[in-house]
Amino acid sequence: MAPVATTFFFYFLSALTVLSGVLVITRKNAVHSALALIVSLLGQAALYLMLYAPFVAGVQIILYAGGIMVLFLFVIMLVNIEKSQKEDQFNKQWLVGLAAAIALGVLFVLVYVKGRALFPDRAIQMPETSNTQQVAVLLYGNYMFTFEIASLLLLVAIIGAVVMAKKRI
Amino acid sequence: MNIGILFMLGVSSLSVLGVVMAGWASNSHYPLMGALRSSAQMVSYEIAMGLAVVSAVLMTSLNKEGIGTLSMIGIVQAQQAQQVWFAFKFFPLGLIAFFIFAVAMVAETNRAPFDLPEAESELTAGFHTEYSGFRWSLFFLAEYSAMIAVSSIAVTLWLGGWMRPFPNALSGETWDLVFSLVPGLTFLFLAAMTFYNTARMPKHPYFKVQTIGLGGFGAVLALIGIILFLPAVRDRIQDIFWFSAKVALSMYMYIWYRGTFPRYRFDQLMKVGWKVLLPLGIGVLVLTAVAGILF
Repeated sequence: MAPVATTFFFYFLSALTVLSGVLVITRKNAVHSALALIVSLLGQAALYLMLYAPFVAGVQIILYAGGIMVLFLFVIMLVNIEKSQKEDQFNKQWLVGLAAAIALGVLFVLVYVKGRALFPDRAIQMPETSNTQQVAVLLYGNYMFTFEIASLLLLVAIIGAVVMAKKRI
Repeated sequence: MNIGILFMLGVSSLSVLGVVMAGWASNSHYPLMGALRSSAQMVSYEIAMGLAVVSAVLMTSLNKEGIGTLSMIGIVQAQQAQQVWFAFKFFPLGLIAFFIFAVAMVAETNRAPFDLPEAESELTAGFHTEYSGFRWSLFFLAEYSAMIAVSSIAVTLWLGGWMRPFPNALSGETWDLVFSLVPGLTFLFLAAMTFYNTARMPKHPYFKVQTIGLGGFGAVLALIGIILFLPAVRDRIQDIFWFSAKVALSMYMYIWYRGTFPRYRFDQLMKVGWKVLLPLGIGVLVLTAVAGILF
């Protein structure tokens, strides 16, 4: 499949993702932040589509935009929004934050300049039709053990949440 | 792209955001309660729905290459290749998965008996209490289009999509001809019903316009029925007719449930979602995988 206006869409989606990411931390109202986060996640899903990873894009929409964000909104509606709106949103450590951000930016630029050989010359054309099968082969073949450890971690988290939430089991 | 069914599930899971935001933005008690109920309900039934869908996708991989598909067209083609609707595959496993999906899709679209988010006896109208006029009608357009979309998914996954009933058991020239006459006969039957009721209209002059209008409507239906008998039209209309007929049957069931079942209590709703449908879905998924390996 021929790429559709790849450069334009890449910059458009990246700008959308970054701008809504900035909105997430600058909005005073928690629900507005959550809405901005949804837009950011959808932009990420579209970026995955541009990377010829349709399965990851679909899972991103279902899990993050559909499932996790609903739980976020659920929790936000239970907290006292009027009280949280009066609180100070930023602490006074912006100097440290700025230094960390600049250091990370310099690191990215250095990796890009020094390690140019690591990047391929042009985009690799993935066989889109078997994208899901390839994800499955990697997850359940090459990285089986890691995958199972991750699921074990999630199980421990679920049990911990139940133990903490219920007084008498 | 080959992620058709995944994309449909993703978009249907986004619909809960609209309900939650509508309820929150109303800044009022009943809508907020409705929104909270709706988010809890839709998130819990989505899981059972996803498990049922996975067991149907698993059935598409029972071919020579052992490679399944997520494409909606591919799923119907797999049913064509395996010569069975997935609702009747590995009886009764496919039927149970279809049942789970049928229950979960009613809960997903907030229809009775799962219409807790808008329970009018407790919450006046739930999340759309504060909306009226065109905004209210947008909510209902969304609800009814979601019903049609989810019914189409169910028909595609389990009821053979665009295929006519019994494509293998009743095959051959004669049966093809018989089934291709059904669309035209349906419209002719509707036209006959309309004409019968035109004749039964009161003879008073006040009803003259209505009688003429009903008769004209019947004439249009009969004309459509006759056009559907033309061989060129007949062959092209087949797939569309059978798909729409199955979706229409599913919509009829929706209205039927609404008139038949009383509304669940909220704890019963959660119990059905988490303690009945979810274990049933996991069990069907495991058994389908085992049956796929054995047979």
